[in-house]
Amino acid sequence: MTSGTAQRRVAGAAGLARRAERPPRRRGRWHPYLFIGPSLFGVVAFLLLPMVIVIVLSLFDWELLSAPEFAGLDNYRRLIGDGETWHSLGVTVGYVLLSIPLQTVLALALALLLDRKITGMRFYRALFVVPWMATPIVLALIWSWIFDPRDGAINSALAMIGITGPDWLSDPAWALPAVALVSVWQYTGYNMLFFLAGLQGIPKELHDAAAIDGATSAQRFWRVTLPLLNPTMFFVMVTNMIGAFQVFDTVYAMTAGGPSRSTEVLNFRIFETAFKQFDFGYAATLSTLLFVIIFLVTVAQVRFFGKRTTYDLS
Amino acid sequence: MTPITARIRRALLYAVLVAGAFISVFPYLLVLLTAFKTQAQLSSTAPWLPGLPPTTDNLATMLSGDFPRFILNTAIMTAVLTAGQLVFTTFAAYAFARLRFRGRDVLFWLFVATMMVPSAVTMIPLFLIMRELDLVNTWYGLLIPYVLGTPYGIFLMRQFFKTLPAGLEEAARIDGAGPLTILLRVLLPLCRPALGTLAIITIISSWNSFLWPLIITSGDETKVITVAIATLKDGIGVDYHLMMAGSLIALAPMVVIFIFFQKYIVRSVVLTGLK
Amino acid sequence: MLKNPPIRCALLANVLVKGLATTLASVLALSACGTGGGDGGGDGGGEKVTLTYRLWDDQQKVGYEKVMAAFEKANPDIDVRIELLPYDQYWTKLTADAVAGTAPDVFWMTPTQFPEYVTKGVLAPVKVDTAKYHPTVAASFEYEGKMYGVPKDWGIVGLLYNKDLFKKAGVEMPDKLTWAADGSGTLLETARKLTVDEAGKHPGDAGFDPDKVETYGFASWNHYQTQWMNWIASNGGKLVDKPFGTYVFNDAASVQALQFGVDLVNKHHVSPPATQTNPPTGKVTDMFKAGKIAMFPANNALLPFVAPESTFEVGVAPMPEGPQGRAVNLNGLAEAVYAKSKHPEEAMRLATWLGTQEPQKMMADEGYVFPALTGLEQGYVDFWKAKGIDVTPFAEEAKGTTFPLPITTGFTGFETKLNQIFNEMYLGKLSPQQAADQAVAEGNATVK
Repeated sequence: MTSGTAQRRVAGAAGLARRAERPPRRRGRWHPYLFIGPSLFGVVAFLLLPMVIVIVLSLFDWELLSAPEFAGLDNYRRLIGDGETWHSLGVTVGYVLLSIPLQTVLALALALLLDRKITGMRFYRALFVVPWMATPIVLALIWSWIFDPRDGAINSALAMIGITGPDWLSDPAWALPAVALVSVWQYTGYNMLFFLAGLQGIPKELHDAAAIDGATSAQRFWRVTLPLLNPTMFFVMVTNMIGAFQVFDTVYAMTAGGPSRSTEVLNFRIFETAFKQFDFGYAATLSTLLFVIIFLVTVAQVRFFGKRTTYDLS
Repeated sequence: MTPITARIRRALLYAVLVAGAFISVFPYLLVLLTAFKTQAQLSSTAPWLPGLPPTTDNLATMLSGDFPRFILNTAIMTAVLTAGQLVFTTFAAYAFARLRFRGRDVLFWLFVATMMVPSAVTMIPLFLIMRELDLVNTWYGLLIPYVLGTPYGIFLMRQFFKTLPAGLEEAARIDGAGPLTILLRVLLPLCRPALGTLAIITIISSWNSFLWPLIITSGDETKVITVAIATLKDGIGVDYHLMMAGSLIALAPMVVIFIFFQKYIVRSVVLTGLK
Repeated sequence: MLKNPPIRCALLANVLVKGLATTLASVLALSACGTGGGDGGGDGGGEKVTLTYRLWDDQQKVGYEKVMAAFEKANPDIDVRIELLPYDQYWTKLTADAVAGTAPDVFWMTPTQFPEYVTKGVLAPVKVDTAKYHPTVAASFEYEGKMYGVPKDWGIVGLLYNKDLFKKAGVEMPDKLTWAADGSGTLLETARKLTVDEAGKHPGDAGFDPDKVETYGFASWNHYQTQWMNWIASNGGKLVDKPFGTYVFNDAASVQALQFGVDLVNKHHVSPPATQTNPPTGKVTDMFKAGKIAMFPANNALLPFVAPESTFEVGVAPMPEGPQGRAVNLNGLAEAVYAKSKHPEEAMRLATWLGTQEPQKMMADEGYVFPALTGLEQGYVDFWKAKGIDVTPFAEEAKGTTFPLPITTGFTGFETKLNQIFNEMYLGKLSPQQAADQAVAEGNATVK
């Protein structure tokens, strides 16, 4: 650790020395590396290295508490015939589709509503972010109260208007939507924050100019706001997708994968495989699978947004 | 627009906001109500009704034990992580967004890729790395993986830097300013909404972080509030009222901090003046 | 606010630079105090040894602080550092520690987790006189003829009941509750009388509406420890054929017992529907506390969560007797010693001492647990008597037929699936035979 810091310091000093000697055109050359240096060190040592280790471990048979044994592609062969994993993958995709579009659209709508001067605006913003600010473990408990089919808040409210609500977490048709709903509730306000910040970056003149040209507010949204929000949208979509594909906490606390395995998302299966079945090698294989899927989805998003944006996204 | 339709629109806007805010806070309202209930009231009232008379015993119980110490631990962790995140993330994001250098895009996507493997699984190798560095059960081990900037924060700031019009740097560069001067004097003043957002999300996610503090440390001297709250639920039963009181105590400072920092999420004067 | 851009820039630059400086300074300072106040595992230096003792129960932690103070007084060369972890993450953390070699010197162990850790050499063998302890507890921590844990305490399943509901319904708790697969016996009869719908009707009455029940006579739900394992055992079935053996709970006797448990819910309607009780979000305890359930099989460890501030008088009765008599789950815990402890001698000294009279009596007399050492139950009984609850039935049951939780490798990995399958059974979507067959097949595939 100390030697790493020392090395960075030396590199920094060298960079400064060079800056003094070299002609102005070239002096920016070392800056980028200086700027990313600390983060690069942190990311490589504490995130990338563990990730590479996990990918390597996918080629091993490791019961965690005994020594790992090299197994070649055995885990991957097992994966191909593992129906439960493919089922989990389907559930995960279902969860992503149920949560991401809704929470993104709602977040954007909220940001547009709150991007103006209205009384109590700060107060409303804070209220919408409370779901994300609250201690997560407590919220799972609260939601299980709310979803109770008889005494829960939702079905009690539905009963008042004469509707018999579903059994939510015990009904294979409703459990996944219920879990997704909690995610939408939890992250809508959070994502609103990014859109709000993004909206601040759109020059007001552009809107004014469009208005003068006779554009309706709908046209201004589609032609001005949305394209200029693209970098924010890109960030929100990519990170939310990464998060949604790895959903775990709510599933663990609210359904434990049931009923009838209808909420058994891939990351839940990975956790069970690693820490309950002590089959870490196979859990690493499943993690690698999840990584590849998320990676492909991200690449697709880079392509999609790359085509539509006025800025350089790469 | 006539005044009447404007008024109707405004009423509609508020109706939507109030409804949305209600849905947003309703579950937390249950936390709030439960935090002020006795165990007897907890059993005899519906979750969405208050226990009368409300009791402050739960809050008092939480605050009289070790909990204040855990709040202090969490505050220290949050302060250090936020300071580190703001500094290192800003530098790295700036480089990724607005400087050209060899390997830039590969490195950036490598950063982002590290978010794509479930942390429950990478936790084991990370824990082993920490053991090699002899950092298990230390503050250093708790902080170091996140204090140098996270890919998430870097990604966020990079996107914001990218929204700033190209050519902002040109004038400064002609005046002989280096990248550091450009970052500090030209770009950062335009990034207040982004920095405000980054500060908020770093503070709150550090405050609520659970798995890593739980894994890397295990003693009371580094215990954070989320872990302390989780210990109120054991294999057999749950102390709901205490858990909710703990969660309420944990949330209060976050709301205050949020309201403080979100004032930065407003249109920058300088930016709107740009062509 | 600041209107002048240059001033603002200078301020921001200042903030950034200061931020950097404070960050580095605080990290360095913190790391220094972190290593200073750490567990002191390896750094010989001083004469005093620090042992780490890990548990998951925040209430018992208070008791153990006193216990450890007594230990430190008797062993001035040892300091004990108590670590409290949340139960849900206790095993994940222990696994990570075992992988890294950083596990605590002495820690709590359960019979269901025991096989995973003992077969992989994480636990050190201990020397204890098993005859002094409750036989079910002692037998739970034996592996290949050796003991791998000092028996600590036990919790047993008994019947908690709401005396107010009994009074209201004008029902007396029978001297002996009994059940049989055909629906005869005093349990079902009593439960029927205590189950009341909004119109005041009982199950079996004309016009009884099972969807509008106000209070349920009994709580039957998918919980192996306090529920269906006990039905199976008291009907002559078994969960596992022997310790470290295979699952056998799909034989006729077991399936008949499972059917009885499910019938209480779906046929006799004396128990809340599975949609409200299935794990992981089932709320049976809350419903009992709210006075909606009259009889509730529970582990005595639940008393601190139910009894104080209860809105009704809580009674304790022995579990119902089945066709093969009474057999109840008795779950013992042990103090395990880490095989790679840096202070094996001191760790062993602590664990052995925790199995002796003094500490076990302290924990019993303060009402935390029934100690594993036989002959100390009265302290626990007296503590609860002073609180107005007679827990003698728990102590009596422990003298009869008791059985441990399934002790076999792979159970931890099987548990989630088992719960899922049996959730379906309690919902009535799988017959007990189907559920048991499926579960036994899945379970035996995980046994190593």
